[in-house]
Amino acid sequence: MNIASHSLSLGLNLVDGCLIAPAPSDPDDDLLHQFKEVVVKKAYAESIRRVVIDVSSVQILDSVCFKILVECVKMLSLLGVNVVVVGFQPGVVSALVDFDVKIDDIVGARTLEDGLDLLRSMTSPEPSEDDPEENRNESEEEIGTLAAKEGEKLMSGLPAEGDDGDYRIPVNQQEP
Amino acid sequence: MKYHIEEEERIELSTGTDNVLAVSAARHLAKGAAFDETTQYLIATAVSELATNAIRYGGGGEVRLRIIRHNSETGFEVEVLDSGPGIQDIDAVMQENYSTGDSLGQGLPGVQRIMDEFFIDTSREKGTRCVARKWI
Repeated sequence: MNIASHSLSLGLNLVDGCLIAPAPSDPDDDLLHQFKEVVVKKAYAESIRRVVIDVSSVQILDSVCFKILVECVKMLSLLGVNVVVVGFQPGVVSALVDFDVKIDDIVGARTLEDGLDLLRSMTSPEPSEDDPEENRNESEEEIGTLAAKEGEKLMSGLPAEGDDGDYRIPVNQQEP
Repeated sequence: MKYHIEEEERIELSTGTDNVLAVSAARHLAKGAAFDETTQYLIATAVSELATNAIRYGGGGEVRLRIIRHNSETGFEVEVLDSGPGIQDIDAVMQENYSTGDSLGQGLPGVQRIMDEFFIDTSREKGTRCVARKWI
């Protein structure tokens, strides 16, 4: 089966550049390995930057299945994808705490909406006051001007073309 | 201690699909015995962990799920048997973060935390027998 037909059977959806991937509701090792493979391949093939893994229909997740889920998140992270896992159910959360699993690799959110908001905040720059677009352009111009001035300063210390005289960096020029 | 068995279900374990059946049966039994919803899922997770171990390391076996009664108390009992090579170093397996295979290694200590009682009987000749109980 190719990625496209797998995507359909797994219910993967691309919304505003974000891949929504619902985890299988009765996961076993094989099913989750298949899920991991399809999601990672799709993210790679389509250069996806944001993925939400929806586990809201998963009521039972043992330690082996959780490990596969963590592997999926790690693989996506290595591809530069921001991943949020949404919808952990109370029974799953309690079990994971009892299993004392390492959750450092997982960014969680309660609902799909919270997850999407979290991903937006992870990938978008902080908006400025008033008109963010205009301010960003202005600040970019300022940075450009400053960079040009710094460049001029540096260049003034360099020897002219064909000049084989002393080369001194600008700060040293002010020394007597 | 003797328990009165109110209900019992036995499932053979040989593939991952059998594990799914065991998990589903465990949840159904726990629900019927009036365990609260979160505990039903916790019990099912513990059953999944034990059944997966039997399939993965014990070469398959059997899971017996029971609703038991002792005096006025109702409980859930899971017994998982396999005829595999047994667990060589049981103390090490019960330690945190120990794993012999493709698992996080939190399996058995996790089951012990979820359930109220947990016993393991293991030998190279007889295989492994795990019993865990959870009381309402």
